[in-house]
Amino acid sequence: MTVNDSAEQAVDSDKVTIGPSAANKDVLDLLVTQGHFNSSLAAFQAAAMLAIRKDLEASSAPASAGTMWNRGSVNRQILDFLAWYMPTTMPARVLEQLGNAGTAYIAEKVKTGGYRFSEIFDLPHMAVE
Amino acid sequence: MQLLELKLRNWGPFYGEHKVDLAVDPSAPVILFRGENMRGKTSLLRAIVWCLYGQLREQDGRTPLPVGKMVNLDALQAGDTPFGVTLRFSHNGVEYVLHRSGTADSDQPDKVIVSQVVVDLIPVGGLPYPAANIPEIIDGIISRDIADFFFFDGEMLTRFEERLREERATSQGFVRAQVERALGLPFMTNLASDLETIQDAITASMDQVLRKEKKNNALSEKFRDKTDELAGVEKDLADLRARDTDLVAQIADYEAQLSKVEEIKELYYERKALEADIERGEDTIKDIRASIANLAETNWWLPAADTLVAKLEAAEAEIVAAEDADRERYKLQFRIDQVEKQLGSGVCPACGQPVSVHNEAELNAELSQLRQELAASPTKSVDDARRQRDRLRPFGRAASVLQRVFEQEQDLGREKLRVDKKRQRTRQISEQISGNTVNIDALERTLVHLKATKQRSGLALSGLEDKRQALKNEVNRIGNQIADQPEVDETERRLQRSVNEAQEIVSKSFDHFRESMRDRVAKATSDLFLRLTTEKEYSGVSINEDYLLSVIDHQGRALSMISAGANQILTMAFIGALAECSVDEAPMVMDTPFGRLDTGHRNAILSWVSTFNTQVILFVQSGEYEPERHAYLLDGKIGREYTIDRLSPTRSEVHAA
Repeated sequence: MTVNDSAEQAVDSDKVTIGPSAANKDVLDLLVTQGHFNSSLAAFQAAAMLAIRKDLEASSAPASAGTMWNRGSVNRQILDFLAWYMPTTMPARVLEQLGNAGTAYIAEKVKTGGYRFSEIFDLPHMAVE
Repeated sequence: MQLLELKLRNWGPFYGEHKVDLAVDPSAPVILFRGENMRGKTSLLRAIVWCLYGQLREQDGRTPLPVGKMVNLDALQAGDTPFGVTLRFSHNGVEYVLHRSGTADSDQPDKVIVSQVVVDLIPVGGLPYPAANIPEIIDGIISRDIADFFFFDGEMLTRFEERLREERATSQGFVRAQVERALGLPFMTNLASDLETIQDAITASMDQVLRKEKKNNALSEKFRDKTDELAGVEKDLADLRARDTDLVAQIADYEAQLSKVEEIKELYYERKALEADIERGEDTIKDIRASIANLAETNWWLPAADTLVAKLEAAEAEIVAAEDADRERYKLQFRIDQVEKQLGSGVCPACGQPVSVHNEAELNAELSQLRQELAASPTKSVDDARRQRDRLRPFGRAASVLQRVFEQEQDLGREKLRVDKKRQRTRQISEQISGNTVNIDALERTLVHLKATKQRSGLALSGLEDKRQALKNEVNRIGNQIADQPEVDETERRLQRSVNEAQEIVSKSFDHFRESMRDRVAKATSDLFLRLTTEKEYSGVSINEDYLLSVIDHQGRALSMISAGANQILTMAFIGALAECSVDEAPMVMDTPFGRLDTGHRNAILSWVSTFNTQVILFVQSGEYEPERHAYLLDGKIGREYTIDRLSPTRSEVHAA
């Protein structure tokens, strides 16, 4: 696949709806309640990006407990990115796996509470040029 | 009036029966009660007041105090339910025993129910007065209206001081009301009103005669019109006065409520300001959180920022490498082309000489080497690397976005810390003022509103009173015309003329009396003020025609600002003068009067007390009176001295010192 391939070209066999595992749903709700995100989908997407950074095994992520979001609700840029980056023809499915893996990874910190956004997602300090 | 003996039963901290001798002679009329706070000094003052008037007020001077609060708790617990006060006193050479008592019951802590309150007044050697007449008799000896000029505590001084300091119009009204109280002017007002009623009845009767005779119909008609109009104005006036009285009561009630929370007022406002700060802080926290959440949502790749940036850097490095490789391949190809061209044409393209001059074999070897190098050089397309870089380029600003996130998180942390500190202080304040749910600023707003309404009501009253007076004069004029008619009975005419004259006398006396007594109070206040003040720049006190009480300097100028100490002394002098001018003789009972005064003023007041030849009862604590340091100031005038000793938190006893 080339970098020009997009999610649009690869949706036929991809998932139409995605969702978190039962345990992860609570964690995502907490992230919203604690004010870190405006929606649980935004939190789920961020968790997926963390999973990429931490090289978490997508296939070992907790299984989805059901549908929560339509593929259309997901940020299109993320699906495009995943299709290109992984690469994959099923970016929604990959997003679901990565999102669940990343959410499970941060679950303990979120449940404990009192952590900042940067601490939960272990954001790196980078020198500004 | 002189108090001779006070007997208590289960009153305040005085459990059981207690007797205190109060008889003194004019050469040593001062009675001292010394006791620390919470020993029962104020209970003794209240015993005297309750026995005389059957009513009590809190220290704010306004809020009614249920007598149940004065019942001794130990007695209640022991089932000893009767309580009471007996006061033996003399007045105009007659000795009286006044006894007031009741029965207390309590079914729950802090709630005492008082029943069977009875009062007896017996002149020694005589028959008891009917209970219904007792308030009037006591009022005749020392009126309830002026009692607080004689039986007062430090709180009352504060209250008077506040009123005198209030804005000009309110202060003038207060001074006028106090002076009129002291002079008994309400009695004069009643007299004038009674005369008016008589006058009205006589004129109406004469009018009846005219109407019966069916003569002077126009005069009679005019009289009835004006009388009706007057009646209407009087009704309006009565309504307005009732509303005004109600406003005064409401203002007093709000002032009482506010004075009760005076101590916590600052804390209340501090908490209120903190609550507003906390609310603003919470909004700021919410805003910062929303900003971070927006950053996280817009820059969804942030959690993988360093990975993506590393990939971007790798892509850029790859581009550089691919471009270098391209350049190298180009160079090799160029050289290959040159060598091939040289070998093919037999001429060196650089120097133009035949190739044979050079070593052809060397050229072939070079060509072979170059072709091997070209074959070995990387062939990666720079376009792929560029596409990869372009895809990753948006993540190149990761460092600056991350910096914004960290900065906002720092702001968030600082704001949370500030809000937490404020919350902690708010909790502290709430503990300090726990149980007090008064909404002070609502009370203050209402009070300001009520005072403004009262001011408007005062203006309306004044206008209506003028109108009433004009109508009254008109009715009187017509009444005189009616009286002049031949049909009117001569006796009625004479009666009408007599009442007219009486009204005129009362009216003139009223004004004259008011003016002369205002001057008398002003002089007494001035003398006393000069005696008590330690500040030498003042030359006296005046009360002008508008009842404005002012301290005067040596150049005769009324001072608009005086020191706080001078204001306290002015208050004391004003109360002393009112007492002096109001009745010939009455005991002066002062509870903790020196608390807020400096040493100089306190000494001046004690020296002033030493000039009395009428009874003075002082309740003092060690902070304001020490026998070894202050007794000399009373110049041997101490007739009796007692200490109030505490036996337990609920019991005290009075002992001769």
